[in-house]
Amino acid sequence: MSFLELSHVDKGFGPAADRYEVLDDVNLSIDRNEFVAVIGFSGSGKSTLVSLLAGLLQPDAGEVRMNGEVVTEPGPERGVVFQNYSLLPWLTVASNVELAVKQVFPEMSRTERREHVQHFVDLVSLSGAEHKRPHELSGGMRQRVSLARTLSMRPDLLLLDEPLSALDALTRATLQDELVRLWLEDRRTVVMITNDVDEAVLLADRIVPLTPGPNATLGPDFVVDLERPRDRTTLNYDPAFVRLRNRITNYLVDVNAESRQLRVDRAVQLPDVVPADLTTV
Amino acid sequence: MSTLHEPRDESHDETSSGPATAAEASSEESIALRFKHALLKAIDVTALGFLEPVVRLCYGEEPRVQLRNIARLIVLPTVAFVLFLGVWAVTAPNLRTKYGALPTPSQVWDGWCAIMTFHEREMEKSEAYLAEGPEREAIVAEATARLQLLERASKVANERVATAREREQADKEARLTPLRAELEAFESQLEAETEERFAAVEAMSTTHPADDRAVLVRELAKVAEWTESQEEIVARMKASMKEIEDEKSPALVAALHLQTSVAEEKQFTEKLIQVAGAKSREVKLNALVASIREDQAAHASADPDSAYELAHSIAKDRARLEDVVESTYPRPWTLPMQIVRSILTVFSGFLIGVAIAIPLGILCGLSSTFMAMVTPFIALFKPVSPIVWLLIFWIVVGGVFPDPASSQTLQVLNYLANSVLSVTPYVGSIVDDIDINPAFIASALTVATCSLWATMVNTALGVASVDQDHVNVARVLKLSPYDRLVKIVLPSALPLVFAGMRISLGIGWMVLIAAELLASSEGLGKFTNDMFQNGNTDSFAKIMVMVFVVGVIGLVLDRIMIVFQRLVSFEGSVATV
Repeated sequence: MSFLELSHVDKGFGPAADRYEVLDDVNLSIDRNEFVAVIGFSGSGKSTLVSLLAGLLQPDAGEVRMNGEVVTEPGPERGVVFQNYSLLPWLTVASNVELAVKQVFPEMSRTERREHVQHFVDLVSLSGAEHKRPHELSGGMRQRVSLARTLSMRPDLLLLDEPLSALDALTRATLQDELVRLWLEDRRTVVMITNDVDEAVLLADRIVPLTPGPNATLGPDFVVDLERPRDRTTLNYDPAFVRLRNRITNYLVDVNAESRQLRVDRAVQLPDVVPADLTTV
Repeated sequence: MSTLHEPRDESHDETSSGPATAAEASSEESIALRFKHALLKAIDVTALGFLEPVVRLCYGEEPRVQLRNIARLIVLPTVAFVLFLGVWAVTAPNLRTKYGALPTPSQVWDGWCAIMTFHEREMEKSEAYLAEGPEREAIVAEATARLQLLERASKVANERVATAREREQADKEARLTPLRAELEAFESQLEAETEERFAAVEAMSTTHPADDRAVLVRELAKVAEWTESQEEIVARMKASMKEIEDEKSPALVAALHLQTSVAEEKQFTEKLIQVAGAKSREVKLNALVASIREDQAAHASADPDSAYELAHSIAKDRARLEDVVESTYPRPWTLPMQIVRSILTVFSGFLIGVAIAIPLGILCGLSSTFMAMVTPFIALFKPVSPIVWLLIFWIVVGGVFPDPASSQTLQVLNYLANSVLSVTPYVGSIVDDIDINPAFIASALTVATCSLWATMVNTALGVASVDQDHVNVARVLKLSPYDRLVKIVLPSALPLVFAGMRISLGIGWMVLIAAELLASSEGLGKFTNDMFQNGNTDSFAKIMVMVFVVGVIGLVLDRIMIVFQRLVSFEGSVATV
């Protein structure tokens, strides 16, 4: 049995009369210490999927299981790095991390806790910025804080909800490298949501595409068997990488076209009438 | 605010290693810069934005921009205020009311000086009462010397008033005599002419045919009309004479002013001599001690009959001695004392209001059911006038303390308030007894009731609008309900709570003045009402002084709340100014 399993998960929103089905029959199983990237178009229900995995939302049908147990509520064993950082703006960098540490490891002494916090702040290369508040930091630094906070909880499963999508390209590349470094140092199960194929290929062991919503579901897996560590500078010249990237991109473009064709045409058929020309009467 | 956070370079931030590099670069210049940043931050927190260009100019930063900002933020407002004073000074004397003309700015300033002089004199007297030994004697000696000078000054002033009055009388006489003669001549001529006209009509009645009576009536009406018009002319002449009689020459006004101020000063000095002399605490004590000694001496060698009498009188004197030792000069309430009491009242009311509003607001924000239950009450009670609340509280508090003089609760409250005030710098020296009475409590409760709504609504809004992302963080961390409230909900609601408290304090201050006026609870409201009631020549000016006193204190209270609000605010929170 795999570490994390989604079986026949459905999720929709809205009242019964006007229901919007976001996810329909989603099945996914992830092994321990696997890095899975879920890739999809915006609006396809990626964030809903993360919320389901985290336990922030409950599926309408089917179930999410971790270690064989059904996920019924959120918890620190499934750490989430939110898309918009979700840092508490009135706390400093260290206090933001400490809040999590204090909650998850209440048995730690004060000095142990301080060391623990410092370790994770150092880990995301934020040494020196411990006493700054989020608004004094750049977007990239804020995301690092968010990452440090989540990692400091030592979660069994790390959920990354488009963690880098709000960053500029340069910062994004730096943080991608950082993520890989962290993951290689301390392997654990990661589910990353992204809309960037390159990013997915660079980071993940396996890529699962999410078809466009509504009624989104997961498409066929793409296993990334590129050698680690992967170097972004040389990767572009690696034929295997290029092939894989093209396959995924083509698949996504195809499903998108398919979904457009499948979409029910709700346009109202107008009668073909022309006003009579009264001037000639 | 944006000026504080210099535009950042993202890539630079990624590589910067924080204070370490800053410390390395610290030179004299950077200390100056740091001081500048600290200053600008302080200006930002206190919302004294108009000082910012001054600081920047001192550091030579873009002088042209700063000068333009100084002109905009400091010079122009000052000019506007000066203009306002000018318009006021010019128009005020023309606005005549039943209570005299509207006071000019300089009269209002004089009113302020008079209020403060009164206060200083009362302070001096109460100090003199408690003074002892050579210090007391010095006060008496100094006051006696001053009294002699004042007597001379008073003579001079009286003479001046007399001469000014004489001169004015003569001047008026000179102007009035021709007018009077004119009036007399006119009146006598009028009399003669009236008689003439009536005679003419009478003559007509004999010559005219008897059947045409209407002509006669018409003629008589004409005469009456003419008489009326002539009388009007007489009235006008009399009115202009009266105006001259009522005129007060500036010389006389000045002389009278001098006379009054000298008389006041003299009266005060006489009182001071008494208070520091015969009526001082020391003299009273000495007299009592002497009397006790005498009685004791007599007691030792007295026969049994008078021994009882003497013992009785010794015991009585001893009891009085204790009273005198603790006695102070019975000082009336002066403006600074009333300011202290008003501020204490408004804060008592405000804190009571906040203590009710914040918990209720939190409950409202957390539970929409509770909110729905409370909304009708807010809607119903919020628009009720403070006057209604005051009357209700007046009755209720009166019922709770039927005998305020012997109420232990009030004594405890008084003791607490007086102990706190006595150690407060400056305030301790002006207030001996803040006198917490039912009127104080009713005023404070009125302030609480009228001001709590803003805090309550804002707290509810702040709690209800906690960022969903932060709630998710709390859920992932599995924070307990209490931790969730204390660590997530309250900190993020705090800026709005403080914004609400700021509004509440402003409302409370406005309500308080009216409440004090109506409850005649010692304070600025009562002071204003007293001024209105006593109807002195300068009362109107003193009422206008209150506009500025109340305004300035309200402004300072608002600033204090802004500082608190800024301190709890964070980037992205509602920071209203």
